[in-house]
Amino acid sequence: MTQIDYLDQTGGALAESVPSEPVVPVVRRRRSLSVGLSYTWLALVVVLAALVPLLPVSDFDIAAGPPRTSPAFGELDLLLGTDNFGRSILSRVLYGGRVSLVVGLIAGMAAFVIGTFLGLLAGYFGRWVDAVITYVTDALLAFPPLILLLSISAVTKPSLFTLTVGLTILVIPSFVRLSRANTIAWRSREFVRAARNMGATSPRIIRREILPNVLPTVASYLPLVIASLIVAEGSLSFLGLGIPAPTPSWGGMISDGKDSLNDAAYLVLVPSVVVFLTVFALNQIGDSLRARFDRTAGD
Amino acid sequence: MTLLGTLRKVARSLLVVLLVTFMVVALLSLAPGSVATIILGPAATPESEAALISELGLDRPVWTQYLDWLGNAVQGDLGTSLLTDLPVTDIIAERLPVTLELALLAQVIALGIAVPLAIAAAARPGSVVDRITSALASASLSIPAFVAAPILVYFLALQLDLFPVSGWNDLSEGIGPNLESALLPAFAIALAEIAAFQRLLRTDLVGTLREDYIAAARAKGMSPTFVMLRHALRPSSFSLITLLAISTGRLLGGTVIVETLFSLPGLGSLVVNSITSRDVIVVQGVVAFIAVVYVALNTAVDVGYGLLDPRVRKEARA
Repeated sequence: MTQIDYLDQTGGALAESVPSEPVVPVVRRRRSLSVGLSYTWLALVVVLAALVPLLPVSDFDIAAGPPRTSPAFGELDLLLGTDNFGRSILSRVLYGGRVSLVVGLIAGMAAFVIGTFLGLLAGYFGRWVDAVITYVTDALLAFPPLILLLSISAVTKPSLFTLTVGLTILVIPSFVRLSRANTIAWRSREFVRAARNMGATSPRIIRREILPNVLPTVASYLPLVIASLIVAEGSLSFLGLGIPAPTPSWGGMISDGKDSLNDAAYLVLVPSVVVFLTVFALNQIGDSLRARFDRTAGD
Repeated sequence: MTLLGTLRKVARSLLVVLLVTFMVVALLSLAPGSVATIILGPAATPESEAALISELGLDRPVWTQYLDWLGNAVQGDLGTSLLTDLPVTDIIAERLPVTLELALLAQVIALGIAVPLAIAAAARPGSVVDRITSALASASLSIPAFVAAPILVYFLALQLDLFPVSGWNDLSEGIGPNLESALLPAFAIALAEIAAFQRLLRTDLVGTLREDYIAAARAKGMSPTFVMLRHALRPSSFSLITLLAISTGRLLGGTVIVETLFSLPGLGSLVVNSITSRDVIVVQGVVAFIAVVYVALNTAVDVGYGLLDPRVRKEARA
């Protein structure tokens, strides 16, 4: 009580004049059903894709039943039907998911680390460091995403490695911009100046004062970026320039099935639904994280 | 002051253009060996590879290659196709109208659907209409083109038989057949644009509708429709116009999937075909063209925005 009196310069008047109803309503964190479902779906896809070699489904490259069996309950292999060669679509969707998820996750994380670092440098040091990094970022952003990936694939052989590198380059600029803008917002705050006045070196200020504040905001964009990477990977494999056959991929499955739309539409619909739900789930999770951690997100 | 700011912006984007084109040229010279083997295919011998590398000039330093390329490019020469021997600029000129028409048509469709939806949603924020449209918008933002296009083909072309499945009728064959072949692909492209436009305009409208002059207009007894269309819509549409211009530029290189699926002779399918037929010179030229146009368009928007909205000019000066 004495302590409160000491802090309260009005001598206790403030405590009594505080209205019982808060002026600004407490921010109610909406427990969204769709976000919950999104986490569930994503966990399901990740677990199943990770464990698919242990599951009682046939391999993705052998015939599991007659060609073009429609989806039906009964045998697990035939749950989602079979493709033109009789291969189990369930198995191919799960194995395809491994490629999409692994590539999206690795490229997303790599770009997150590299981009955040470059953005910190540009935002903190300014001057020519900022100019160089900003110009290169702007130049990379001048390529439409798919065109950038296509031009990389024009000079390289498609493989898991080149694909991951290409996708990483694709999204580094977004992280650079985010991290740079946030760094600029923090770098002249009082506690940063205090640290500098106490003799902290630049690396220490960046690491101990700025990075912890920038990290949550930038990281909250990670699901959105991974979603866009899964779309980009799918687009490339839809064009036949992604992971080479016979490894299945979601985009490749849609591309393979598109000529049979008329008589076996599930060949396209099944992978389409899986891609949509996965991207949608990631976007929902990303939006909810962004609303929590990004103070600049207005809507 | 404004003139100086404009000049600075233009100079800045010229630098970006130089960087972009350098990246495009350097990409090939980064891997000269692999470019040659890719072009020659399995029949490559070390001698033929070396011959091709020197024929393409890939054995010279990157800087000389780039300056050569730039010198030719500013004179309108982007090289000749390895496959057809046609100048790349001619090929681009032949393919550009298709992509341009697709992009513009998609934007018209997107605006036509998104603006009324945004107005309906912003008129009563939080209402059923608002919640349904925003749910639809976030769903359709999650539909990649390679999912949307085949599914639209399935329902609209195969099941309902409203549109042809694929193919392109040139404008010279008449507007009717041309639109018939262009509408479905344009709609497939527009799907994500509708959602983006609707979200943006709705947010801006809701913000504008909280302004004092809107309350004043309402207090004077003007009808909600009149207030919405005459007082709120115009000041709320600045960000939409910016997004429209930028996304039109983006669509020049963003119609790849749809063009390939519908086999339309546009820029996107040109890039894909050139990659599969290993015509790297064409890829180089088209990619450089698309990127430069995009930068130019963004700069134009950036500069034009200041002319359009006096508030921006003032802020920039302060």
